[in-house]
Amino acid sequence: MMNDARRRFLSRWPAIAALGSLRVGPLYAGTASPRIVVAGGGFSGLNLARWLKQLVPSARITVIDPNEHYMRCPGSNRVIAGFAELPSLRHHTAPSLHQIGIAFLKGRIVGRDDYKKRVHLDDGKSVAYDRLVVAPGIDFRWEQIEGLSERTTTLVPHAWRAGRQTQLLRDQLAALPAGGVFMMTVPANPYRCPPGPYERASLIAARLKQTNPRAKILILDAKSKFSKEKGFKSAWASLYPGMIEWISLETEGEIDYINPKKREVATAFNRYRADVLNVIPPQKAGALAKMLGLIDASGWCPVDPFSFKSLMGRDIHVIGDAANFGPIPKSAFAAQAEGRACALAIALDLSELPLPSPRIINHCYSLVSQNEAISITGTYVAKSHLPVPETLSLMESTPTADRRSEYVNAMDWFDVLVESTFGSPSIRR
Amino acid sequence: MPFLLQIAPSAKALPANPIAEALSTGCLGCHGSRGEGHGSIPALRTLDPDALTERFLAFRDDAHKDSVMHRIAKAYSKEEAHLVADALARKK
Repeated sequence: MMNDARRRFLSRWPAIAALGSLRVGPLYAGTASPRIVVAGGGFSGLNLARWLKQLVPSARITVIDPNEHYMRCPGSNRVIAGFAELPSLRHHTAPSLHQIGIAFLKGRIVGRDDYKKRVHLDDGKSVAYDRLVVAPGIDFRWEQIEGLSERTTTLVPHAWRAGRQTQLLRDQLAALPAGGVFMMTVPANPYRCPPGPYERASLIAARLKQTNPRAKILILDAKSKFSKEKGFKSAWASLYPGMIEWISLETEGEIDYINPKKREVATAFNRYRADVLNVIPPQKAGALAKMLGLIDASGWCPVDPFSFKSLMGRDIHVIGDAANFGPIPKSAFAAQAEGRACALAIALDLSELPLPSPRIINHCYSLVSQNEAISITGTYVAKSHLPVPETLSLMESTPTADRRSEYVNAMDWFDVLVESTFGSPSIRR
Repeated sequence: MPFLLQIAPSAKALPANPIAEALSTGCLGCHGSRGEGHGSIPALRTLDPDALTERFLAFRDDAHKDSVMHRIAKAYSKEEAHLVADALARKK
């Protein structure tokens, strides 16, 4: 334990001249090297692990994930539209972590022990932690759409987690009859990647314009407005006139039911028949979050936005899409930012230093064609008296933005995001 | 062995200010973990803190509303911009 004089001294950290040279610690539980377990090797978990290793080189960090390979969603719309190949989305997680002294454990977590601070794996092993970071991404609420279930996704793919679903939707689209209808349904907020459905529609339109110019794209939305709406609509009007129809909540009401075999969607007022139907289901925090008892009635994980600590466990942090960060969108870039900010919070907290107010930037591009993009940028701050972060600024591409120069920026931005997460550059094809 | 809060592992590393770290960590998402930049995204570590602060603050009044930095700079005060520049300079 720290003595009071030292604690008082450290509590004045803004005035400390040389924090980096202070010999602080070991400060907790008698261990010199904090044990950090990261449950989930996606954008938030991997960025957290890498950044924390920078901040606290002595930390013993273990990333646990059921899969040795991560299939990323960012970039998957290009695969669906046939502008890139599925293997380009695949990253082998372990080797680049090992290079920097982070362990990777392939395994499925089946429980936690708050008291002993261990997670249990399905093979009977357990792993001890000083801090557990839970980053499980999303899961689907099949039950919210009548007629939909996990089994129907072979007929009606969601392609909202990358992998076989991505390839399936791509194959179905490649077989779209001449002049056929592709229909996508989009859930209400919050869900993973708010502008993702509209990027998907744009890139599919870019493909169909070449191969099937009389085809139609219908977007049935559970919202009455959407992310980057002006930019998307302006791009659609100039690039794909008459091809994409966006149907807002006011027009059709909610989905009544779907018939997967007939690829039919019934709304309050109409029934639609599609040749290819892509139902993006309503979402919730990844199954692991529920199993660990970290979700509330919203289906997402409540956290203290200062420390990223779960409000439902001890020494457990939740980051990425699974956590409720209020206005911060569930994007891969925001997940990356949360990962780094949480790493800083853990590093300071382990040293028993007070936490500063985190500033999160989300900057996100959507492709509207093979060589054009639009973007949105938000900055957010957590304040001690507020349960979720507050928006400081939120701006997006104007309809007159230079979409070709945004595309150049988008490719460079994407390279940085992929490299900071997976330790190696992306393959574009 | 004690564990240290080592923001920059080099022996010449200047002290880290947690407030400045919290304000500037977000910059690394685009500009790279060492502020090295990439392609059209400029490197930050080639600039000294004063030049960086000046450029950052100039974005706040940028007439070019589609500039990414205009959108971000609006969310930082002058004092915060100084802290950000100091923290990023340390990543050299």
